[in-house]
Amino acid sequence: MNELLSGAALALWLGILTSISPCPLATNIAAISYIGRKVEHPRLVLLTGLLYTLGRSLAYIVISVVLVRGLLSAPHISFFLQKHMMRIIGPLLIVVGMVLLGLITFGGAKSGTSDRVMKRADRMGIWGAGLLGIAFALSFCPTSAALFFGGFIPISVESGSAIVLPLVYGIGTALPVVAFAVLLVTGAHYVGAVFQRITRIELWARRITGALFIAVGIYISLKYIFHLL
Amino acid sequence: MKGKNIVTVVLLLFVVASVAFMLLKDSGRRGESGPAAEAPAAAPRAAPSADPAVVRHDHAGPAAAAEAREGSASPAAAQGTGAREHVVVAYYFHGTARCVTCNRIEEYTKESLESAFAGLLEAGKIEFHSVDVQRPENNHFIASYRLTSPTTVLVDVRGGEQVRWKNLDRVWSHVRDKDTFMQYVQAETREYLEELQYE
Repeated sequence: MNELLSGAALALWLGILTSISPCPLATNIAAISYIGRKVEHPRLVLLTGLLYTLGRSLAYIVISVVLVRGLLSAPHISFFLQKHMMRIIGPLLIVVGMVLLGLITFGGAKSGTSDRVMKRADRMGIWGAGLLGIAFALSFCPTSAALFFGGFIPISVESGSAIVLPLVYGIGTALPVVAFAVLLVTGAHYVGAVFQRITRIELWARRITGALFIAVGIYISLKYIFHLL
Repeated sequence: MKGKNIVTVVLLLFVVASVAFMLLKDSGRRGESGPAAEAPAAAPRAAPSADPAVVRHDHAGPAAAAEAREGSASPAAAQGTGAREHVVVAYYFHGTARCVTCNRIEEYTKESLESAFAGLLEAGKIEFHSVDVQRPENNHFIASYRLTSPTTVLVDVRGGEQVRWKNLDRVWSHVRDKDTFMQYVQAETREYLEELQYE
């Protein structure tokens, strides 16, 4: 029991370290803006943050199960994900950002219906936080790969815990992101309430999120596809 | 409205260009990796320090050619280590996309060796190579040294045969403290050198 507790504490710390290291910063910024964009509804922010956390944990649990059971080797999974996920994430973030900004609408919607489409996208967006968590967790950069495959996996394999420890590690990786998003929303909500402009702030939060997704997507594409940065 | 349409078209073109570039690059790499990557000299087999297996370790293979293209191979590496008795090779393995911490690990590793073993580096008894393991011709290093992330690996080569190796995986935990990092790399290298009776 004590071993599991100390393993969990270490997993949590490694998760936090992963999150605050510089190389996942771009995806973390996108995640913070996505989680915090529903300024008007603090409960939705918490729910989105929770789903984002669960998405991350789920991805780490799946990798851990695969590795603990010896289905695939850590070197192959690590370099496969490092090579392919970031390259997929770049263009994907640009498209999602365009949807959030209303630059792309589905089903041939005309401009008059774009608000309705965006509201529907927003509703789906809460569940999208889970998918975002999975995708960002799988997008290993060199530092996160070193901390997860080099630091965390040996602990997980040694303890034989392919569920609890990765769950805690996932919570650790999401904790700083969700905490920062909640702080931002609390501040924005307070300012919005004072100036009675919450709806307006929420509209801008969505626009900022869309713009950030596009900027982060372009940055990741330039770095991981074109190798220009 | 016109501005919005232009932004949409530009972004969509960027997405299409990114995907096309990615696919073209992958198909190009598959084309060029065929026979060269399969050459026997390119693949030192896995030999962890506990494993007594003696394997070929010849830098004159495609891996050395790739390093030379990156401008990081020493003249000694280009000639191959097979002709010399004992050599300690320090590899810094990285991916194509670099990060700030990864660059720092490479820089500190190089500095650790140059500041403590300048004479041995000059004499070719220690070699340093920076290798992009995501290049098809260098992929074999991932399995051979069980790499999961950028790291420094020391390889003990005797008469052209790799007899043992060690992944200095603690470079990641020491990278925030340069002095500790350098002491760690130098101590590990010295251990290999002492056993080879270089000092």
